[in-house]
Amino acid sequence: MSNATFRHVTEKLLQGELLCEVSDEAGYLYLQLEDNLDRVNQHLAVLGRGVALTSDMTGYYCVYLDVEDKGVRNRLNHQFHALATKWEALLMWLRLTRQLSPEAHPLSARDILKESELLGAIESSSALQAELESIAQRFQMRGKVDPRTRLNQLLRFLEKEGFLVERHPSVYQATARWSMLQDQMEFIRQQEGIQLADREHDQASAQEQEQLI
Amino acid sequence: MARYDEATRTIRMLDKHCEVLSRACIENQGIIVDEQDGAKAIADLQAHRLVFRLDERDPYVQVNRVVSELFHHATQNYRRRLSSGAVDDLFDQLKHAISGYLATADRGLMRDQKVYESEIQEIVAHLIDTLREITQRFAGYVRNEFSMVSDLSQRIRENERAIREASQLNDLFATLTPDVLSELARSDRLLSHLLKKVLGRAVSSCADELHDALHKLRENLSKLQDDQRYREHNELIDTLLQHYQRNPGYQPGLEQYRSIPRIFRAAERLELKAHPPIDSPTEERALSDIAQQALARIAADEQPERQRQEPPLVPVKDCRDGVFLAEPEPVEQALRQMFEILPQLAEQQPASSLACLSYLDLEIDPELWLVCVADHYANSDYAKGDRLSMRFRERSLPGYSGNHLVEDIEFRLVSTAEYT
Repeated sequence: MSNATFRHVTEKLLQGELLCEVSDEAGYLYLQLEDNLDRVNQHLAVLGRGVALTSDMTGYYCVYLDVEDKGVRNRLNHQFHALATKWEALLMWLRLTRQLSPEAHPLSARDILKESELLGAIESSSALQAELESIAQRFQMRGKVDPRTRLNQLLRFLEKEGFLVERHPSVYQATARWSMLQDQMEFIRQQEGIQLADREHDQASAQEQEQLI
Repeated sequence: MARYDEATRTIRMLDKHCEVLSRACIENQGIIVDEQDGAKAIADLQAHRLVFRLDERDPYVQVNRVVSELFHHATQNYRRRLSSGAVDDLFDQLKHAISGYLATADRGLMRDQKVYESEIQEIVAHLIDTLREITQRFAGYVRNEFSMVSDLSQRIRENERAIREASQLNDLFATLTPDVLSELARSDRLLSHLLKKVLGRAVSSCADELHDALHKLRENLSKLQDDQRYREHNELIDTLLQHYQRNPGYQPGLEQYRSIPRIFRAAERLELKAHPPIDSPTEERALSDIAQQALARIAADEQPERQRQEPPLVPVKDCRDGVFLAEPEPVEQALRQMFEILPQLAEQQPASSLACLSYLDLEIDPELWLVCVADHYANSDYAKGDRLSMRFRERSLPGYSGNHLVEDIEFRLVSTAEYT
């Protein structure tokens, strides 16, 4: 069992897959044991790779250990650009699903998305329909279709990109790829010195108060 | 004189509304809400500038910082007293008094023994009070969820600190076992009553209460951490979306970073490929062997091909129960061939029916083939609990709720252990 799982996990990681409770529960649980993680890491190290974990510890993925190689660097740059072009649309999708969440929580790993519930809310609001269309356009989805088809297209697209897994017909579950995205965005925000919206607002009101005084 | 009068009036006002102020400072982040009972207090306190209202439309007033600090200062001693260290000290005192009591009892010094007896009683009473106060403090934390602190991070830190303290206290309770208390009491009647019954009962009830509080504190902490995580995530989403709006066409890049961070180092799919060196003269012999083996295999494969050209005749019953020999139905023959090879095919991974069809010399619609496969399986021994399991690979049809399109039928070999 252990050897079979080891082989399965290593293969999946080498295939560039992210292992989380949603995408591959057995693999995720296997890697949660330190001995297993060490074993996989030792094996991958021979190939110049290692296992990384998202900051909220919900997903494992394979990373290059040495990025000094020019080819690897180019590949990573290319990969990053391909992903970064989708960031704005993904952020809009996160905002949309947050609006539809009863507690205004952003979409996170393990969250369930029911297509019918999303559709019900979207169909009853023209603003949400416009937002949905705007997201679809940013994902290069062309043609005029009704919200039902558009939502289905988006969900299928996110499933294909590894952000969602279809648990039952029309019921999706978010994977740890959202956590990975959050980590990446947080890094870029910090590095580029983009100030958090609330803190910026706090500073602005503090300055306003100072001026008044 | 006017200054003295002013000071006296203010202090009296604090005393008059002490209860409202205490509740506000200790439990409600220094806020007093406009309610029936609070209205008079608010008016009095406002007159002495002990509270202020930031916006006239606010339904509450905020206690002045100086007053909040006064309450903080006043409760410092209480907080210090209610630490698990205080219980430790008291327990040490108790042990000391017990040893004195037993020593005087052994020597028959009745008067000294009485002194120790009352000291022990006093310490036990004090110890029980302290334990109750401490456990109630934790229950208070659970009740108000540190609502006096508005900052979420600070609230998490307070919660963590409370859990640490509660865990320490829990450890202390774990040392006050009936065995330990019994050993301290020895066979003395008074000590047995005081330690085993009175103190033992109090420790047990406090430990239960603390255990509950600790559990709830952990739940609170987890909820607060989730809230913080969601808040940070929301902030990040809003911030970056604002950034995109303010800077149309914004594209982050990795080029400027000397070392690419781990989060962006996700390795691409590793393709495992090998190419034989067919032009190399050193490999000629090996290549020749491979080619000969391949030819031999083809020759072997041709045998069933010939057999396929002349299929064996099978006995068939007609409608009058007459038996005659006829060629088998091609579909039936193909199904038989497929099910013969399936246990081997499905050993390593699920075997696809459509994949099998592509290897069979049969012209049939894939949909019809899948129907035939399912039917054959249902009438075979495999469906009656043999080692081959069947699974539909299907997807739901958009727009037709509950309808599924079967795309393929897969077979898997159930292991003997699993089967058993």
